[in-house]
Amino acid sequence: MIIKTEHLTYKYGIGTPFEKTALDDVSVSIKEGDYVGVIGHTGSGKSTLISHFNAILKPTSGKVFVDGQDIWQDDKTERIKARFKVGLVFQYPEHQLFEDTVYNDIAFGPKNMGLSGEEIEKRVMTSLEFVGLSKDCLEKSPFELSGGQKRRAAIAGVMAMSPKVLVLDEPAAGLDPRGRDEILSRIRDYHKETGSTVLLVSHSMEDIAENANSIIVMNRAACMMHASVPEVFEHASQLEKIGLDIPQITRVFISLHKLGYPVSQNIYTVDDAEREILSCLKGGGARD
Amino acid sequence: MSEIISVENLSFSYGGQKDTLVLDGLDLKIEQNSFVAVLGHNGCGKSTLAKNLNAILLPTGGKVYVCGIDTTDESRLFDIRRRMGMVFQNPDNQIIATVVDEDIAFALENLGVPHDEMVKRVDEALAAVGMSEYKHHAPHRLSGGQKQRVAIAGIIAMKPQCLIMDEPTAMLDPRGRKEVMATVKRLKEEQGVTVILITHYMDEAVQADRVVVMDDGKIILDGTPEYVFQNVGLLHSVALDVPQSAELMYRLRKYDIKVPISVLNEGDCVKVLSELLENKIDYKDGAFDI
Repeated sequence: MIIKTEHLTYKYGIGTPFEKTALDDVSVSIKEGDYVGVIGHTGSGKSTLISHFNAILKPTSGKVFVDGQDIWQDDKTERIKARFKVGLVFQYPEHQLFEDTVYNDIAFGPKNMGLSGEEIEKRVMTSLEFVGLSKDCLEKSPFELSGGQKRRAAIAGVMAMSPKVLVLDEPAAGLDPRGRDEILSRIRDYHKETGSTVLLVSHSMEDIAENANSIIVMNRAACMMHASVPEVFEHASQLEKIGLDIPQITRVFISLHKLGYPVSQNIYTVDDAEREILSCLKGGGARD
Repeated sequence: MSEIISVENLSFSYGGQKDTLVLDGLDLKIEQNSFVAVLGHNGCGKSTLAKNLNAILLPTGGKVYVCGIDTTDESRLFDIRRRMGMVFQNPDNQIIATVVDEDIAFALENLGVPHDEMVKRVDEALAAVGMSEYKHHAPHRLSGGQKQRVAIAGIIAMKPQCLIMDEPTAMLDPRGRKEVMATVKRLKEEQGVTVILITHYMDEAVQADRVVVMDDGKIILDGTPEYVFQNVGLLHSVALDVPQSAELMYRLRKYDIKVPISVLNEGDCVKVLSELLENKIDYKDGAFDI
């Protein structure tokens, strides 16, 4: 287990009239190398949860383990290590670009890790390639880039630290369909090639279904489910009740299945649907 | 006059006439009380068009008339802005006051609306977006969907004839998106507002009366959602998606399976697929191999 929480509870504004429990007794474990989708409506605790993974927030009670170590033991070295082991890409990460050139911005993290100049350069180049930016960008000011490019430069800055766990909070928000596909496929390649653990926070069930292996469902500050993609989607009606959206095509196949047609309910993408329908027709089609 | 907006041969570039054109000879007429969705990938000119519709930007070439007023007529600027209400992507950029009802009253104060009338309009606007109970709340403590509805109420209170919305749901979760869409549709039905919705979400575009697709500063498709989403290949070529059900029909037709082209919603898709599975729809046996 690369990340584990035990009875993690977090309260905002303790002792004020605005006290609110943002996480309530959450125990989750994330396997090394997994690609985990985190879903839940706004205010369900997703962002509060991931902020605990690299010690940005301190639990009100409960424990957080990164790579087997309790990061809130007295010694702060574990917390510093956690910062480098878990790379967090916040929502709208392009707002965090601040250096004078793209190169310097991406190099900022590795520099703080105390790496050699040579190693820093290598890291910058590799992560630039991962996010699909051209070398011409390196000497530009980050503010000259387009919106989608800025987003990718910001993500490269976190990848350059080679974290064991890469956590991305809504990396595709506000992008058009092509921009979204581009970013998500880059992240998929990164996951495949580096073997690192990836956590993707998203509102889009389609995106999660197409990318993740397992899903954490957050609802009202608690972890409602943590299971494989098919297992989670089996609870479609429950997911809709808590304000989440099931892909249209999944709903279609759940209805067909209920009507007695011999089709699978675990259809999340148009590719799945096409394959399923064609194989049904090949098998003769009709209802038995 | 049934047309609220008339765009004639509109060209626009940010750097004057020599610069690249962001909008290139665009013609568009929008009927009063219609609901028009505008689609296009980032950088295709959608937002530039929207800003030309309420005189935030003025044409480099061609003309824009809103309610019959030429947008370059500076003396009528106030009339234009009052009629064309604009809602942006991020409600945080649009909300300024620290209490919901004060935020909604802001524009009315600027318009010099008398106090009694103002109180009435604030209440009406909040009721219209379903946020009356949050009247005395602080906007920053609301959810994204609620904030966006407050931003819409702030515009509605000015009683605009047309609501121009530039990706109003991009930052919202599914529940927030549904709230905003339901509000918009209700305003159109109950108050006769014309709605122009710029969006990346195909499921929202499907709910409009008319869909306009832009690419490279031009309009490349214009018609009902049923018509527009038949053009799957063309939409893909300009980096746009279609609803999943329409995509599935498009793929099945490639195998010579005679399903209808235009299936946009879940119910119709279930119906077509069940007919297909019961062998009521023609397909050549062995035409596909998987």
